[in-house]
Amino acid sequence: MDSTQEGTLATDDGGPTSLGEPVSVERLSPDTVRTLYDVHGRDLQTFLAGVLRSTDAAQDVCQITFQRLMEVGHDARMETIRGWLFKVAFHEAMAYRRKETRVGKLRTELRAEGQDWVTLDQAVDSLVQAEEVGQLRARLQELPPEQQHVVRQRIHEDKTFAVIAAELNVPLGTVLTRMRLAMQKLQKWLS
Amino acid sequence: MSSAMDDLQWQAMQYVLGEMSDTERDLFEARLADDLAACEAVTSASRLVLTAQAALHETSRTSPPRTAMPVAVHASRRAAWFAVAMTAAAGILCVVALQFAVSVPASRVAGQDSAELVALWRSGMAVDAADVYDPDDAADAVSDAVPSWMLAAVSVEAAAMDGQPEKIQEN
Repeated sequence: MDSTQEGTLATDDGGPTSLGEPVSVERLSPDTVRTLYDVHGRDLQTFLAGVLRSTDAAQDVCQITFQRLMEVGHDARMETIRGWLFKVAFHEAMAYRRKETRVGKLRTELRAEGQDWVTLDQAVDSLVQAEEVGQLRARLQELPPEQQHVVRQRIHEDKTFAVIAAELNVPLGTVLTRMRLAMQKLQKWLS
Repeated sequence: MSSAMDDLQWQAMQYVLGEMSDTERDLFEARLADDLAACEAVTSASRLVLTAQAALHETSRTSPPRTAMPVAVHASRRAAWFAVAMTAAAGILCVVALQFAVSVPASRVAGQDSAELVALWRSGMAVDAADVYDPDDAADAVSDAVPSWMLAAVSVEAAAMDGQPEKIQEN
């Protein structure tokens, strides 16, 4: 196999990388995998944290995903590699969840130990940036008090919308609207 | 942001927060398997939740209402420990002072009594010696004036008062 031919991803023997062409049957080079991790790794892990609701599990599955990339990533096209990574990551996440569900671990253990998925500080630190946290804190203060309250109760106190609505003695729809408006503002700023 | 995009973002947020019913979740996950936009929406929602969680966590750690209580508790604990330490120190001082007041004067009195006893004996012996004065015995008069049993008794008494064992030296 001529790994240096045009249209192939970089391979173990240091061949060139180009976009949009079928790739070689040889595995991707460690440099290519590292570059792809640098570009997509954080987003992938954040996505997995949302799917698995565990930053710890997200790290594991992200690692598995990049192992798959090393094994079979040469079958993917570079221009769709992000989609490929998300697809593989999601399937691996589902497999991971099924496995964890079978042994009855994931959330029950985390909850039993008082570890919510967003409180695993070490893993969270790798996904959020300190300056963004500081800026978001300031943005939160700018929200109307009733929206601030719902965001705090839902995200920090981990209460369901139904519980928050019951505590405030307002319809569930009101709480959902407040949360949605708050999230829209914050997401617009964050993006 | 379009309404459809808004809806997708909101769905992703509900998914990340675990607010979907089982059916809604299954449908959304079926979409995630093939739809990169849905995956990006989940990534965005997850990032927002993680960042907000970190921000709120920091706020709750630094906000006055939550920190005031532990500080007050610590202050009262410090005061309590200080009071206990001061009471203990005062107690120890009292015990030491009492021991000093009891033992030291007693030993002094004992010492004075002993000295007086020895002086009386010597004076008694001196009177006797003057009556029957022998110049050859004059050099031994001082050392032999107080008998050894008296010196031993005095040293034992002093040792007992000091609370320390003392060897009885025999002449």
